[in-house]
Amino acid sequence: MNTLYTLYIIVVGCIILYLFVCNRRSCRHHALRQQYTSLLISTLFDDFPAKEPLSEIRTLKNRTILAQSVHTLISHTYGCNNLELKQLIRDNNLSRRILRQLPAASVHRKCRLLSQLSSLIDTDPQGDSVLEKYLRHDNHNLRIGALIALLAANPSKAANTLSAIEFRLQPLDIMRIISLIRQGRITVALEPLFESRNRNLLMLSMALVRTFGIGIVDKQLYNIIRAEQDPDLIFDAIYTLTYLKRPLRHRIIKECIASMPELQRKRLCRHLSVEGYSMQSINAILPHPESLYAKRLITSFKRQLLQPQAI
Amino acid sequence: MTNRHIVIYSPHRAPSLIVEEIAKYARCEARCCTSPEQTIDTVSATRPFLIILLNICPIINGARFISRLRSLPSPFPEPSSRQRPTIMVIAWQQAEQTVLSLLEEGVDQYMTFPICVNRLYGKISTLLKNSHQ
Repeated sequence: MNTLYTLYIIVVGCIILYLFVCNRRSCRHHALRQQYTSLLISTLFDDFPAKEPLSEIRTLKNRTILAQSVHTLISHTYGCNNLELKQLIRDNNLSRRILRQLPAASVHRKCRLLSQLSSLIDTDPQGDSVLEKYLRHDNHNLRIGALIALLAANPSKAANTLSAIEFRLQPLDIMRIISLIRQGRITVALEPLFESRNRNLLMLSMALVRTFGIGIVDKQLYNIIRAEQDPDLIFDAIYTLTYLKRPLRHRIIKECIASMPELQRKRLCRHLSVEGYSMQSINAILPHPESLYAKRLITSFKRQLLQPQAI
Repeated sequence: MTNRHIVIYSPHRAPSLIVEEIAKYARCEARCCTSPEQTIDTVSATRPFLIILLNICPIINGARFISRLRSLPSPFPEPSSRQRPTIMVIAWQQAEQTVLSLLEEGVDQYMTFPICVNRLYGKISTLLKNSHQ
């Protein structure tokens, strides 16, 4: 009985000690993170004297926290004067340290490290070969992480990198690339994207049109609907036209919509209702059951008629 | 006495740290909250001139939370539109309807991530200056 009691005390003691250590470590990490974030923000302001400069960090753990802080800052902000930030990253060898950690990490951790790597403005040029290796990995998340890191590392070669990849980009992947463009970290010209026959580049160009509301690409969108065989590309082009609030009375568009599967037509119908297309426009392009569905949506409580004049 | 309080609501600590530091540079006293209840308590206690929300739900869109914040009793005896706290939402891009419903519930400013540090600093400084006039 006594042995059991002693064992119980030891186990409970160990658990309490473990929780205490974890809590203390978490508090220390939080304090460090706050300190690093404060320092990083101070480097972004020109007219404020920077706080005491951060010397080279020796501990591996502290460098990890610094890399996390840089990642959080870069992913949440844009348009900052980042010369000092670059210097700080270079002084602490952050990108090389992440590249060294990559091979031994688990897949989940690799994704996180690649995501951190994409935020480091001063990426190690030797890292390109490592990242290119991950572009051919079986895991899609790893491939995308490597692609984003590669794009961030070589902004001038963005279009070439995108055209060279062999896998299909999903909508979420395209949004991650657009996030880089929104931050001003990579620049791509829209017209060459539309001229290319690469599926990924065409999907990206249409997502760019939707995100930034570029209204001068109707001709290119009609060309995609006319020439492309990929149903995803055609559907995306029709979607982009509806985002731009363009009329859909063209014969080719009507034919494409008629050949779509029923579920996809229903999806388009929901989208048209939300975008404020009138019942007359929807009746002209969708068959009877779907137009009835649109009527129900428009008159239901789910749809607020926000646009005063319907298309 | 000048009111320099800002209340920041974010369930995630990382983005609120950035906004907190920017607010500190604008010489404001920022308090971070991680839950809506804590935010309402802190707003009642500190009477801030600015409330920054860094998280809105895409479906429920946080409109109820904002209406609760707006319905808190005014810190000043005379009701005046200038003296009520400004509510600013900074979120990742949301659908047009979500943003509209937030504005209808009483949000004054809406910004999307990624934010420009200098722009947010300028906005906070302007709001601080206006709240003292």
